Amino acid sequence: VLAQIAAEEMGVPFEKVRLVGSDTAITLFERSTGASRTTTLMGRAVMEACREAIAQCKTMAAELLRVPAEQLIAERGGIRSGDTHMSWPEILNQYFQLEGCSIIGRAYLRKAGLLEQVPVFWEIGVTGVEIGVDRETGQIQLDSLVTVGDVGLAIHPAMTESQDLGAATMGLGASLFEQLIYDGQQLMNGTLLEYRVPRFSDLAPHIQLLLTENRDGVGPYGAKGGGEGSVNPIGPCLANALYQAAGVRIRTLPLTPERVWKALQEKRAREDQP
Amino acid sequence: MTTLSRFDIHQPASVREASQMRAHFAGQAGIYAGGTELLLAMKHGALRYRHLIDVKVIPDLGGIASRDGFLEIGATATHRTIERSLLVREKLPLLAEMESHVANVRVRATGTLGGNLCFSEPHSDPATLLLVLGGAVRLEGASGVRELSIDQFIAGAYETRLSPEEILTRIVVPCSKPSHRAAYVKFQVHERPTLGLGLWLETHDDARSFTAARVAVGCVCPFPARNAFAERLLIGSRTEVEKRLPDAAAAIADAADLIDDHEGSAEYKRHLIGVFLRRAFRKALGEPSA
Repeated sequence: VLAQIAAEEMGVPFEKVRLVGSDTAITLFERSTGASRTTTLMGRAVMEACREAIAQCKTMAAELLRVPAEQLIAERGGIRSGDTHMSWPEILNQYFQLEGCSIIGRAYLRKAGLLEQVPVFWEIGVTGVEIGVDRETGQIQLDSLVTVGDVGLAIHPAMTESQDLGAATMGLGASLFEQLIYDGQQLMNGTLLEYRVPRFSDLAPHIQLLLTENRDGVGPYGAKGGGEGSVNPIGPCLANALYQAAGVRIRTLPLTPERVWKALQEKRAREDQP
Repeated sequence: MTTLSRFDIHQPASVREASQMRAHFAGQAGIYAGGTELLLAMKHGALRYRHLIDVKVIPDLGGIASRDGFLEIGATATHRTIERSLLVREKLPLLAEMESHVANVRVRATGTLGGNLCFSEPHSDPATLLLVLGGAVRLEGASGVRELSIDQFIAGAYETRLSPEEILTRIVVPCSKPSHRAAYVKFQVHERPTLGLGLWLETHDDARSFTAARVAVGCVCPFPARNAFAERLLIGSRTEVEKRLPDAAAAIADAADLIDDHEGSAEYKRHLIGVFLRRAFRKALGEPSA
C-alpha cells in the first residue's frame, strides 16, 4: 500500500518503487503503526513526503529550464514545461551534474489540521451471518458470512477484503471456541489439543466481502484504516442469529455446543412449566 | 519449546528380529511405527526411550489382504493407505470411511493403524470401531503367534497386553456381509473427538429385526468399551429396538463412568451418547439422521 501511494504520487510504475525492510536500530521511531493506522498515517506521510520531493525537483528543474517553478507541472514521472518533459533521473543528473545522486522527501505528521481530531478515524465494521444450530448437540454451523468495511478508499482492495475475512475469522474463533480455562493460577488448556482455533472447515461456505468507499478518511485519497472492524461484531452477530434461530439469548462467549445445549434445555424446561 | 532427547534408531529386517530387539533392550526401547503420537509424547517427556525400533522398514508389514472372509491389515499400514485401499472399500467400507476422518490428513499420511492401537489413546477412533466390528490383533514373539480381540488387547488408557518381546503384526477384521449394518459416528469440537460411538447390527428379514448387536463408546472413558446390557437391548424387532435406544444409551453412559473435563460435563456427554446412538442407528440402516 505504501509503495502504491509512492508510485501514484511520483507518477512512476509500481515496479519502480522499492519498499525496504529496515532495521529499527537505525531508523526513526514510527509512532503510528498499530490500531489499523499505517495506511492512514504512514500512508499520508509517504504521500506528503513524495509531494515535498516533487517540490524540490521543481525548484531544480526551474533552474535548469530557466522557467519559474510555478509554471512547471509534475507529470508522468517527471516535470513538464510546455513541450519539454524531464524525468526525475534527468532532473537529478543534470542538476547535480553527476549520476547516482538522490534527494530525500520529508513529511511530518502531527495532531493538527486534518489530524486534529483524535482518533483520526473510527473503524466501522459490520457483519452479518446465517447459521444452522444442531438442537440436539448445541453445535453452531456458519452457513454464510457478510462483512462490510467502511474504509474510505481501498487502496489495495484484495488485501482489504482479505483483512476483513481474517478479522471475521478471528472473531469466529473468539465467539465459538476460544477460551482460556484456569484452575486457580494454572492454565488448563494451553495446547492446541484443547484450545480450539478456527479451521478452514469452520469458514462459511458463502462469503461476501463488501467495502464502503466514500473517500471520507483523513488518509491518502480519503482512505482510512481497515482490517480489524470485523472482529468485534461477529460475537453479537452469532448470538443474535442464535436467538433468532432457537430463541435462546446467551450473553457469554464462546458459544460452545454445551453452553448452547444447556440454554436450549433451560428454555424447554421453562416452556414445559404450566 | 520442547525437544527430543537423544535416542538410537534400530531397523530390524524381520518381525523376529524386531521381537529380539525388544527383548534385548527390555523396557528401554519403544516401537516406532508412524510416530505421530510417540514422538509428541517423547518431546513432552511423557515417554523416555533410549532406543526406537523402526518397524516401518520391515518388509510386508504394511500390506492389506483379504482371506477367508477376513481383512488382514498389516500393522504399519497408514490410516491414509487404509482409507484409500480399494480392497478395504470393497470388503469393509465403514472402516475406510472411519479412517478418512481420523485426525487430519498429515496424521493419516504418517500414523499407522497398528501404532494407533498399541498407543491405546482413549480418543482413538479405530479402536472403538474395530471393537464393534469384531476385530482382533495378531501378536508375534519368541513364544509364538497369538490373536487377541480388541477388548482383550486394550488394557486401559495407554495400556495394552502386548508382552515385552511381542510385535503387533496384523489387524484382522471380519469382512462385511449383506446382513450386517454398522456405523461409526463422532462428535468433535477440539483436536480430539469428544465422543466416538460404534454400532454393529446383524439383521434379519430385510432389517426388520436384529439378531446380534455390538455397541461401544470411546473418548468419554479411559478406553473404548462395549456394553453387554445395552447390546441385549438392541436385539429384537426394529420397532422394539428403536424404543429401547434411550435405555441402551443410558446403560452405556452408566458403564462409561463419565467425568467432567474440558470436553464437556458428564451430563452433556450422557446426553450426547443418547443423541449419537440414535444417529448411529439411523446411519447404520441407511436413513437420514434427522
